[in-house]
Amino acid sequence: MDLSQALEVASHTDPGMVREHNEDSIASIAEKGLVVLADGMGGYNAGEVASGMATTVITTELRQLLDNKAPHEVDPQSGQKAALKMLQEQVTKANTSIYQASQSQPQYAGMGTTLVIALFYDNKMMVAHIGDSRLYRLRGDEFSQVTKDHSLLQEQVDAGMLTKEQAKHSANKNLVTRALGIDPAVEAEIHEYDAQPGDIYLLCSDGLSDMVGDDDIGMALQALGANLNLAAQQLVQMANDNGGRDNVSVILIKILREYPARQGLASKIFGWFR
Amino acid sequence: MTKAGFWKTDWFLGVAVVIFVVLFNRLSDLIPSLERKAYDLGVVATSRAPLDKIAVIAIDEQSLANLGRWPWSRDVLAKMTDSLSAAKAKVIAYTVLFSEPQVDAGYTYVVKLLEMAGVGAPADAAAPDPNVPVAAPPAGPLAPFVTLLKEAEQTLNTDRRLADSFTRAGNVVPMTLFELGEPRGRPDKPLPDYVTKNNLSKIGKGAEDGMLPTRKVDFPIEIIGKAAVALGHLNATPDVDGGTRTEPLVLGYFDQVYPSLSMMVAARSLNLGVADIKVQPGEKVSLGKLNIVTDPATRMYTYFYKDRDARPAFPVDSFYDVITGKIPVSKYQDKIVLIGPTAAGLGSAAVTPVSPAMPPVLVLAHSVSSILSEHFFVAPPWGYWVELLVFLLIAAYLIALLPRLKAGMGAIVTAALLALLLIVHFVLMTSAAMWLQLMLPLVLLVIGHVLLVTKRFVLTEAGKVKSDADSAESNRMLGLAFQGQGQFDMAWDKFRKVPLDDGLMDNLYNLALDFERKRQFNKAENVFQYMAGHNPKFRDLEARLNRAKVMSETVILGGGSSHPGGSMSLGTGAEKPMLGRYQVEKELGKGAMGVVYQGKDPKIGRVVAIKTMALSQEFEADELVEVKERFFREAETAGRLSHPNIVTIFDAGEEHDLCYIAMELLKGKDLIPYTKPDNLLPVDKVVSIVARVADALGYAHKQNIVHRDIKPANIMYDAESDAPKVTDFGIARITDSSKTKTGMVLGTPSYMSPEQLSGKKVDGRSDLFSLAVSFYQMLCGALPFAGDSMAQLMFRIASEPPTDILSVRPDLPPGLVAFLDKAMAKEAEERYQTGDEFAAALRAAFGGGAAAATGGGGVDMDISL
Repeated sequence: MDLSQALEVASHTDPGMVREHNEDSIASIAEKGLVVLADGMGGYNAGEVASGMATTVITTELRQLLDNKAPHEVDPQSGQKAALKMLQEQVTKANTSIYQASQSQPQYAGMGTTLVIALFYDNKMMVAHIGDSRLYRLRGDEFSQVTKDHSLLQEQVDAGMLTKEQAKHSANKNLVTRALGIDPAVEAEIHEYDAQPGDIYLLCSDGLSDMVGDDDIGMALQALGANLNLAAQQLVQMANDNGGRDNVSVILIKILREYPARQGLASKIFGWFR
Repeated sequence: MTKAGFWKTDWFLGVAVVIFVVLFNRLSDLIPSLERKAYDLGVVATSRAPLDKIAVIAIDEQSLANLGRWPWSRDVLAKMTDSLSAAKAKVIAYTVLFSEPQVDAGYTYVVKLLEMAGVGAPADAAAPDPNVPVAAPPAGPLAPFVTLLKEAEQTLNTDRRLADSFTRAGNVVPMTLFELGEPRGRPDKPLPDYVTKNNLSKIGKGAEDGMLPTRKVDFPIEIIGKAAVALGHLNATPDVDGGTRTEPLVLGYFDQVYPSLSMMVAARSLNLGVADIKVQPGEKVSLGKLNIVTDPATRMYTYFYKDRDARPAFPVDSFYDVITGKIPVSKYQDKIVLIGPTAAGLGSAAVTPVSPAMPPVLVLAHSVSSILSEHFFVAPPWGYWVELLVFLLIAAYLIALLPRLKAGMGAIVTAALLALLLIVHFVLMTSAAMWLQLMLPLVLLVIGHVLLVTKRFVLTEAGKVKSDADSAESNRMLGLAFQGQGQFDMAWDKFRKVPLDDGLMDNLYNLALDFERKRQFNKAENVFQYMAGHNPKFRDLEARLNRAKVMSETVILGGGSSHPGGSMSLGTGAEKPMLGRYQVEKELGKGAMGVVYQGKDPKIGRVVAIKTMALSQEFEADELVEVKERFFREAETAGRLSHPNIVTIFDAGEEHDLCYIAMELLKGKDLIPYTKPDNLLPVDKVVSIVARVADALGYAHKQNIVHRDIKPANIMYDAESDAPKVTDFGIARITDSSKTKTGMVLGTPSYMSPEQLSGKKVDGRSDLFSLAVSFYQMLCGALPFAGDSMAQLMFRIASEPPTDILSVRPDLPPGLVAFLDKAMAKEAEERYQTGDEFAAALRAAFGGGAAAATGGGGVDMDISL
């Protein structure tokens, strides 16, 4: 089923003002309703390799999987949607690939990456994330963070050791507690959400969320939501204006209309169409 | 898709194709010719038996060679007619036009001589003029002369001889020839009676222009024409492509209508005449009970019979063979005999569906058989509407449906439609003898589909150029991913799709090393060869290539342990690589930051463990100097430590982009196995180990060195020698302080102290807290602080007391609880302040047995060094 009529996707990535390399990587397949953002880490260009591997492996594999199976289908045995299994498997695959590459090739030793995947289907959105790259949602006037970082800072806030205010000025902002490709196994946090026409979703690396406050991001989205491309450029510009100390990447998805999954025969017949 | 670019849309292309095909059909003969070709194929595909009553006598090359060149004396034809008539042939038709009298050069003189002799020449013996009295034959001496003259006259007047023969036979039908065209005005003179008697009178209502008009006609001379039983025209009406497919059954001549030769022959063979032929112009012609459906110009779609088993559809005999009696005339009894020239140069051959050059007499044979057997094809009157409908349906498919179908399904549907059109066409022709012109929709379908697919291809191609750079990058990533998964061949496949540049050289180099490690030297050689094409001077490529060549030709026996990963490839060469002053012997395992090798100092023969760290690849250039500096500072301070329970550091250095630390090689393993509930050490053993570690920590803390990562994984223990040793002093968290670096991943903070968790400055008391946690775990196999999530865990470390150890393992001495509570106090000031204090309290709590074990441990340890 082709979602490119129901979803508008815009993205932008920039090395920022300080760094030479862009270790972020973004990818999207609008017709499949798939967007992926990864923020790599590791010396020299290993970070680029890790994030690039993550987005490439996940988009390549998921494209094939989605051709053959509808993500909304429920597996009778586990009672879970196919999308969940797909995302879990692909995250595991990407993790293994990156981990092995970092183990076997000295120039990539220790590389890893954060990851956010959003998969849209059947008026729903499934989000898998690892690390401190985020997904936000703008629904009406309400701008909120959907994912919760896997970072030391977040854990400290959760544990009540730091307030949000203190967290903003904490020194170890960048310490993540989970990442793809660091350990032989990793678990992604996966949740499903309802999506409504008019929603705008923002996937971003910490290059944006560290540099620009949530309120400012929300305001920019509300003001420029009608032109997603412009909004994407503007968000990157805002991060750079505030110093741009890290790579900045954003992906914006606007829900244009409902996109319920087709059932049975209808889906088969519509499968013949482009 | 924007409104402005509608000419780029698929439906617009569909409309354009339809218009183009319609125009093309109008302006060019190509598509009508294609229809005709399809018709021809349909004809060939149809199988009908020809009428066996028809025989053809051909005036062929053989006859010409023996009987002289054409035209022959009509005497010869008369002779043939006579013998056929004697053999009782049913009908005899000549495709020869007797429109000129045949006058022999001597004949005029014979007539003149006869006149001089007083005998009137019987010039028209067939119809002697009654007004001229026939003179009595002279008598006397001239009599024999006159007789001879008369005989000569008889012989030389071939026209009369032929006419006589026709009259005698009474069933001969010669041909006429019309000149097709719209007449302007009236005929020059009325046609003679023997022609007009063939005029058809029974003309039904039909289309206005239901017959082809003619303006002139050639017919046999009077004497022959009168002798013929009927006349019929032999006009061919070639199609747009010059092929003959139809037979004009009737032709209009001013207000008269004349049947074709085939019609008349057929009629005569059924003993019917002109009166039995009814014509409904543009629809059909009836002959007795036979109904022949025609096209709008009253032409019949002749069925052309195929040759069967290499024999012609109709028996064709040479005129010469028949006249010389080589073929018995009796063969032609009751046959319809068609006589005409077939030799090249006589008459114009026609192109027919079954033959590229068919003489008129054979076309006639096919036509007669078609009429009599009703084997003709029909183009039904409603056919036009069906054809139009099909065309519109195909157009609708191209405009509305095809653009929405996926390429594969589109191809399937188009192919199905194509097949359907062809099948309908051929099935109708072969089984119903019906011809629908379906090639126009077929052409539209093919052209439309090809153009649409081409357009899509061109568009995607344009998109592809844009994404080529992307795909190179993604191939590189996929290559790395495959390599990571151990699928080196797939990885090599992907890498080959990436343009070679310096960045890729590194990836390929590593892939080749991977191949070498798997001892697939031929593959490694391939990769090296490929790399040499870009830069043969790359690193040690030449040497590697040569070695791979040698190795790939050598059969290698034995396993030779392979080395997955590592910055140095071991075991493939004869010489062992060096790291600093150490000979690297083998790989021991992988640490947090790099590979650990076993090395040997060749000068003093000391065996060491070498821990490597790829710092230069771990950090960006601007940070690297600082990090390296710190690394060596830490190594230096750690190197100052000399304690039996601390792993001794011998050396630190830098080579091959690697930083390394050479340290004491230990026999044992870390303590992790002894933290499992089913594999715990005895309590006094645990106490002795922990007390000695506390001693070691106390020693280090006095030198102002904090470990920062005390946990079972960092305490090595060899059960044989009972010697615990703290490892990774100072370097365990060397990268921690690199605050700016993105994403250092933190392990589970189960052993961290509260002050360490909140990011405060830590001192030795933090290490002691971690040691207490490890102690707790080794005693009971569980962690003092546990939580479902990291947040919960951290909360518990920061603010909740540890789980009561007696609830986990009730048989422990009760005094332990107080010790643990103090050792794991939240505030550093409330804990044991030094390692010595910690060890002393521990030993005090558990009495002398543990202390004795401590002493023994010390002795064992010395042995282990």
